[in-house]
Amino acid sequence: MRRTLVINLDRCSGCDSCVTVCKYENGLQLGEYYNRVVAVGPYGDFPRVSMYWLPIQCQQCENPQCVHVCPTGASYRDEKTGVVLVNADKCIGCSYCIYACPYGVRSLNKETNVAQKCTLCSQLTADGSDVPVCVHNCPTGARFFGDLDDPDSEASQELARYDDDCIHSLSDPKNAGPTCKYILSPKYAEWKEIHQ
Amino acid sequence: MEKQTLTRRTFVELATLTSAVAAFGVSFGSKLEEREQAYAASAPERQVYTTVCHGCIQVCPCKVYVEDGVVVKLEGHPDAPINKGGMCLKGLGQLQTMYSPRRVIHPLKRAGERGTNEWEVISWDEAIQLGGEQFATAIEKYGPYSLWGASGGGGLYASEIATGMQYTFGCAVEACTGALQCYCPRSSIAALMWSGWNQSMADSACLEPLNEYNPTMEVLVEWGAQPAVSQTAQSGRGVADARSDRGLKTIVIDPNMSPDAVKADVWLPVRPGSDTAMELGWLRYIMDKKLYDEDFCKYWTNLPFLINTETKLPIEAEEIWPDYVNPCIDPNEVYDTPAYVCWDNLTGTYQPFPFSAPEDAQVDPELFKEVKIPELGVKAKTAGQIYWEEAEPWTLEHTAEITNVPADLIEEALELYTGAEHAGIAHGVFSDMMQINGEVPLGCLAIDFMMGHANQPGATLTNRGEESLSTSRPTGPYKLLVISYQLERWWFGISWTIGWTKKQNDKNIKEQLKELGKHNDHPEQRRDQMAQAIKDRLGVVHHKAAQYWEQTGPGMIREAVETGEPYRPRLLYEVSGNKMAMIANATQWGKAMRENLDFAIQQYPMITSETIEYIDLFYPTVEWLEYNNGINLTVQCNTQWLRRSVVHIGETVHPEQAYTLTVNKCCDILGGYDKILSHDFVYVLGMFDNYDEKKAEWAAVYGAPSWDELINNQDKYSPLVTPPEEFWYYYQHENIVDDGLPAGFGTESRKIEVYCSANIKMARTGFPYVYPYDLDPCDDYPAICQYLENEENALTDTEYPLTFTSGRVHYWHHGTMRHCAFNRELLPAPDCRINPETAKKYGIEHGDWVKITSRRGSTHGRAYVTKGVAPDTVFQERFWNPECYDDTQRDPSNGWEECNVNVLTPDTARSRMYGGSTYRGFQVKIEKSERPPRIWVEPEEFEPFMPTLQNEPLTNEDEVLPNA
Repeated sequence: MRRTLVINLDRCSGCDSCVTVCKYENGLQLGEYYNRVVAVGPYGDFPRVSMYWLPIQCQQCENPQCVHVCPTGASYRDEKTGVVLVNADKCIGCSYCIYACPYGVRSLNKETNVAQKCTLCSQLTADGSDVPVCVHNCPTGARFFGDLDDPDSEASQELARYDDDCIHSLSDPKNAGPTCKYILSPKYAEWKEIHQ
Repeated sequence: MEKQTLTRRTFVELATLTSAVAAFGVSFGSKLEEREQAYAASAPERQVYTTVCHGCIQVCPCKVYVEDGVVVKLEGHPDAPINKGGMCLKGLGQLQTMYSPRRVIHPLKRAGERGTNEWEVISWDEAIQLGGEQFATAIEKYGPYSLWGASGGGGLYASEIATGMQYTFGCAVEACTGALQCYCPRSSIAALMWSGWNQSMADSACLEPLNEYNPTMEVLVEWGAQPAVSQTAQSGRGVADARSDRGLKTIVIDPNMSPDAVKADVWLPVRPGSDTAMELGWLRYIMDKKLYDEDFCKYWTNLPFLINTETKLPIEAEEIWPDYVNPCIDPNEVYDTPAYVCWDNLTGTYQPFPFSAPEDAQVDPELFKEVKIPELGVKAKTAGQIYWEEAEPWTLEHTAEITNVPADLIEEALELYTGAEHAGIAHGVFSDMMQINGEVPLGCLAIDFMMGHANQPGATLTNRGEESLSTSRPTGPYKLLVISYQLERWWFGISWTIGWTKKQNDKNIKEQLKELGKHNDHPEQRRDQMAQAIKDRLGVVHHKAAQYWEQTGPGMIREAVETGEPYRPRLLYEVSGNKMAMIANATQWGKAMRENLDFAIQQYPMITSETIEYIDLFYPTVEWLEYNNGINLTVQCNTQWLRRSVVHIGETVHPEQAYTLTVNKCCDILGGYDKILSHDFVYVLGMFDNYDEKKAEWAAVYGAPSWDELINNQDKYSPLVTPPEEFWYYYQHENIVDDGLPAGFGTESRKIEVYCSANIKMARTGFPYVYPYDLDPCDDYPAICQYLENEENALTDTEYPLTFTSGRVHYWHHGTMRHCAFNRELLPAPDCRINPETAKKYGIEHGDWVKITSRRGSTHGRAYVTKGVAPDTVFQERFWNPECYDDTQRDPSNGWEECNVNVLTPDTARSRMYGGSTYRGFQVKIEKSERPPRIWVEPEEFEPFMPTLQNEPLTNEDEVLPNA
């Protein structure tokens, strides 16, 4: 099973609602984020310019660098769901995972000194009954959750609506195998490789 | 697993636990149950309610999770037809604003000098007594013109209070930061041109882009409209669905690359304020290439009517042929439809052109013709010809030169728009905020009307529901329930005469006076008094078009408050949030109010800059999670959802209630309800003094026997659903009505008056707003779109080289939410969007602080360097900084000067028809600057705005207000 997010950038209007709804749901403090939305562009010659927004959160990698560097085994990839999680009890706050993550989506919880990141709202989704709040509430219907190994999942279904040239992943220099997929049709904008 | 009984906190712990459990290879499910049982005894009770978000002017049904009386979670309602479970950060922010330390939950009386932010908590008894006394004193000493109300932008609760005050007390002015600057011009011009809905998407007038039942729209032109930002989860979602799921193509005309422009097939970055040039360019292209819908223009619009070039009005057949008998005359002289005159291509002569179904017409009317009419001794031109002559100079090249948009890009947009069978224009708020606010809607409407995009599937100009089907001759917007506040004058038997003949209007007015007599003695005398108040409105002679919504340009009110001429508005009842941030020429405005108002009352949920500057008495009102209302902004397409209170804290009151109690107290002091113009008018616009009666009224709307039954079994009654086949109607004008003719449109000619002759008449007499009275004439208003620039513009200004424009951002609606910590940490200070070329020219880098200066003053923003605006254009949204008067500030300010674009805006550059101020399209200069003092930009700085009121006891509704 590879539970992950599929994010349709043809729809995303960069409103940041996924950022705040995540903070409310997961009890994050000021300055703490599991996800951020990055404006890419505008590029081209004015006025024929284009841009898109790129929401970035844990990419739910198949070969997660954060897990490899974790000295205590606190960071792990759930065998059943494929979701990368942190066992707070085992985390010693060494921050290795934060530096290892190619996408900069981990941080230390200021109160507990434990590494934290998007869990795909496992408090809601672990039993398969619900979707992450960023997916539920996305105002433009741009976010889809599900198992990429299940062709009937909402995530797989959304991907299936698009040709290969519209489907992208973040660049993967460390062979981490991010499962999160982005849909961006060329008619809206050209996909840009983002380097951290 | 019963998730309703678990808290979020429990779930977080569960998640942590299950993660650990899984790592140890222990069974997942069994541990979950154990954990749940272990927590069951201490788990707070979780309830889930349905209400409707009020984070903007739209209507997103949502679910509210409450634990032990505290709201812990919000989410969009998955069954809502448009937002489909979505909820944007404006709505979600209520989780913080509801419990914000900035909320006021007890009535306050000013304790120090104005401007010092010192307050004394008082009881509601004291507050209502004080408010009522001040009303009564002002009336006794200075008469009703000393009173005035003020309201804000769309979506505000109880904005009708300010308008209604005029009809309750006979006072003459209202100040509003919306209205003239938002939607009044667009909606009123549409009402006059075709008596139908208009092109505003934000105001739910234009719904076809969201229509999934009969999805036909191919091309949507978003002319200054930005649904993705203004109403992200509602019309923003609808357009996203239409684009992604149904292949809708979009053209965006906006000086700023808004999120809608980002997604557009063609983006035209028009120079701010040059929109009439763009419109005339479009109109020329359409006429020149004969792309208009010829049959529609000939038979359903007044474009073929011959217009008398001296009177500027269409010639009626009887003027030329005195013995002419109009075949559609009503023998009872009530429902006349005049017969006009056209140039007939069949006979090569001018001929009578009586109203009929197109196929029954005896003429083939020519659209473009100039002719002499010897019988009248005048030249006449068809309305089409008048349009052509106005548009003729506006070739693509000339349009490009004036609008700064390349000609090939304009043509690309035109090919897309004119090549589609089902298309329409959504016209945003931008033009209302400029001096061209009458001219631009004339153009946007004319373009769609010429293309025949009216009452058609996939057009933006459509009318919905049973109320759009006439069985008799449609007579004005009243019949179509199109938004207008004519109800107010209608109560007095004045004005928006819903018929077009004197006989019909006189009959209506007579009946209405009888009705008024049931509430008031001497109804005719009271009607005369109200008519006099309308005639005495500031600027009414020149800005008659503002009478559609009973408005007065704020600049004129500011001057009257300063000078006392012709009378001084002295006692203010303010129902909105922060005029200091939202009104033009804020510095002068604030000074005028601070120094000259006798007394000012504000009702709002929190203290704002305005409160501190000049408010004397503060009525705390509820937030939307505490707000009951069955009818105010509750409709999403063909569904209507109850908005109901989920929790309620403090002594906060319903916004429609405190005002009424103040009016009642005032009357008690004056010696009776008959001492003011019309006490009972307070009820007409929905205000109330008896909450139980009001709730019963709302329950009845949903078909519930009682309010308690309605909220206890809410899902049984709400939403009310109109079957889609009874909602999405088209071609209503073709239906035959009881005079045997097609219904047509609710205008005098029964056709779409693309040549808006009502504008000409209005300028001369005030018709239809004060019938049977007249206003003095002013210069004629335009009947068609004309090229007009704002007073300050880039073509003529050499001192201030950059053109300022504005537009919404995702994080708040108008002046709201600046105290929402999670929204502010994402946009702590306003982006000052400038092109890289401009940035380079002024030595400014991305993220630098920028000082912006206009002829009115200076303020700040943070540079956002982007190719999303043209060189020489500056974009910044309205802002204010409530952190500036936080307790932690050593040197507090009132938070409206630091980053407030309304320090820059002129309130003396007024639109000719409406008299509104200029909020966009004026000239500025910029320079690199330092961060202004007191402004918070780091996330952690917003800690003092984090919610603190979760432990406030829940309100006992019966104990809040005295005698309520």
